[in-house]
Amino acid sequence: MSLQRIFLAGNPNSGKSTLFNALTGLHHKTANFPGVTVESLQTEIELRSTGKVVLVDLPGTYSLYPQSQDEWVACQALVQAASEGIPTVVVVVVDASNLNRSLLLIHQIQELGLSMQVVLNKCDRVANPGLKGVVQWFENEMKIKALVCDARKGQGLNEVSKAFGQRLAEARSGAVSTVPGPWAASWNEVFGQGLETQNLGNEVIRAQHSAETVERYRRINQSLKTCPLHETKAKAALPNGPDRLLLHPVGGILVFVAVMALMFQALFAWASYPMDFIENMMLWAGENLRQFLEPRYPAMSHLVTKGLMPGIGGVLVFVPQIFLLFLFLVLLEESGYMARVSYLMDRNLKRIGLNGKSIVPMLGGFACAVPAIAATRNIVSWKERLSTIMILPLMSCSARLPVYALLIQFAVPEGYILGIFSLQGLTMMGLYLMGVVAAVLSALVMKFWIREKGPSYFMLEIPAYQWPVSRNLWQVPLRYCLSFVQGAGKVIVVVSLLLWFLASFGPDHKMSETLTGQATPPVLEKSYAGVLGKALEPVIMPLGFDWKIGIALVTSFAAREVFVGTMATIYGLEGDPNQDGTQLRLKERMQKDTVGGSKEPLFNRATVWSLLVFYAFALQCMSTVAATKQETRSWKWPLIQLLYLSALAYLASLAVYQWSL
Amino acid sequence: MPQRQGSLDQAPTGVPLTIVRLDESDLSLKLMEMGCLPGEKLEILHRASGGDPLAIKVMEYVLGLRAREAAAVWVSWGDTPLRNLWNSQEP
Repeated sequence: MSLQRIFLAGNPNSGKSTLFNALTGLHHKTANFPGVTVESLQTEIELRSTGKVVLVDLPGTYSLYPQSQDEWVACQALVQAASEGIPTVVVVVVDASNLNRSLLLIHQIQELGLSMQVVLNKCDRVANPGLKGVVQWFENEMKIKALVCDARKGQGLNEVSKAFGQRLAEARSGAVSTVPGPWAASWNEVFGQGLETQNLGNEVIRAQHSAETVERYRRINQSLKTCPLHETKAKAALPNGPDRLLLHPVGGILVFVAVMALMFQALFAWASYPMDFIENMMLWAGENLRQFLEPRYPAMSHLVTKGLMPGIGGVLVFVPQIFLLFLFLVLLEESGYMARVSYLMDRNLKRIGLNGKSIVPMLGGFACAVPAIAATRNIVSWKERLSTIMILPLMSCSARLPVYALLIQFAVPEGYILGIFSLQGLTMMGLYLMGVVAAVLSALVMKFWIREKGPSYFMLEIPAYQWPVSRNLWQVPLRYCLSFVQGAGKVIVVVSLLLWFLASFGPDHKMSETLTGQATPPVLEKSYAGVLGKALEPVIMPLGFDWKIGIALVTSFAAREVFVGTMATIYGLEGDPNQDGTQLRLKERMQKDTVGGSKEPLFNRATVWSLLVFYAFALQCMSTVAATKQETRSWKWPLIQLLYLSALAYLASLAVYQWSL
Repeated sequence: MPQRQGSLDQAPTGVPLTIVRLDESDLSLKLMEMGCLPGEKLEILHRASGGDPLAIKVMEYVLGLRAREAAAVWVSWGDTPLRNLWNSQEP
């Protein structure tokens, strides 16, 4: 596939991703993560002049000498592009209020011999947003085509795509003027060493790098003398303004806790309305489908309404919560608050062997550990990065939300404290906090246990505050919801079908008879699933779990949220407790279940708390295991992660159940 | 005011500073790329509790860094007038 490519490069916070989002809308191959470009996010776009091109959003970098994993991704793509023979245009997105620093990267990229375009972004930050003189200066002094665009407002996008076409035409015809630089050879040396960023401290390269940086900045300052620089409007927010409070040692932490509290309150209280709506819709659809299918195709009706529908419903129902969670994360990141939280927390995180930058993946872990694990790439120290990855699954991800939401109803009564804080919402927050505390303690253990060397530092640009772009506020969460429904949806459909099969047939039943309606399906206890659950029962009995929960534990290793789907399928198959034929909600069905024939409800307090704790700690997620393997490039760390989290979950559940009995 | 020199982590807050030199290390390379070059002006805007990390203003933007990293930068202060250095800081 030799499509033409356009790389978006630039410093972090230059507005690259906003431009990417503005140009592409919802068509993405990979899921993005709020605010952070974790992979080279790419998509195909259609240009009027040249047809299809691949637009790639590279991670932000300050120079072509990478220091962290994500910078490496960007630099490698750029340096290799020169020799790959695919028509490639590099678009450098520049924060117009900080031209000086961006010029270092531009200077370096210029020597790669690629067709290049500068986009001056954030022009609302400078006194003269037209930047006419600056565009002229780029053409005359730097010999680079430049244009002005406001990605946040979506202004100048047409000019940007038009320029893409022109630069691509140049790239294809080979009419690219290369500025030969004395340093380009050293990059090949750097990149020839392989992907170990830790090896960059080579003495020769370091000396050369240092001399190069000084010389480049000297040239930049020299040429900038003729550039009509514009005064920056935006004042650095520090040390005045909101930062007086937000970076205060006590006040800052209080504000952060309050923001988190608001987030979880929203997840539990506000999301319940759309969730109820979706659940009712699924019930209604299921009932109608059953009425239509049952007289015609009884076997298929059983499969669809008892197997497939509950599984799909279980996924769809927590889309609103995922949306809200991502909305919050985008808000925090885009406003510039997240960088301040990193800054504020660095000292404390350093003490437990993490980094201020760990806070972004950790908050992201509340959404999903998989992109969060990839988001650790900007942590320079391997040890800090590894520790962050290891503890990330303890941050309660959105897949646990439906499990928590379903189970909390059995453990905590409805009601409010002070009229506004819902008891169940507070319990939810408590579970998240419990995960965080466990994460902190695990990090402390890792700090003394992991023996990996390498420099540790924290250097982070603190951007000026800004209003988030409204487009990003719905586009990024929506994109993630879509990819979640597709990704998790596939797993859940497969697992629900498998489960339906296991639960509908048993060793004593002939499948053909059941399918043709000659024999009734076996009671759950006698089915394959029942046999499996029963086999597991001795191990999980001390935690207060019966064989039905055992089935759910097995199926939810694929993904935690399968728990709800499994419960729905199991209780869907168990037959309707309501004799009049109306469908009961899952919660009501679970409430009616009792422990082995006695009057004691199965989902009593002790069992539910034990189950909640188990789900808070256990690593029941194949994707996380795969992501950890991917990022650590070995099976060692994912296996350690799986083992320690399983042990933690089992022991904690055991303690909780035995104590609350 | 007499000219004084010291490492950046020991320098006073809210006073214009000039970079004299940087230690030789990977860390300094990163700092240089971020705009902390000899001769460049900077100012400490904020120190977190315990003086670590700190936020400096350099090349028109705010950079957060740890005190240990700041120690790699040697700065001087007191030899330049307090005003007129930061065009963006003027009202």
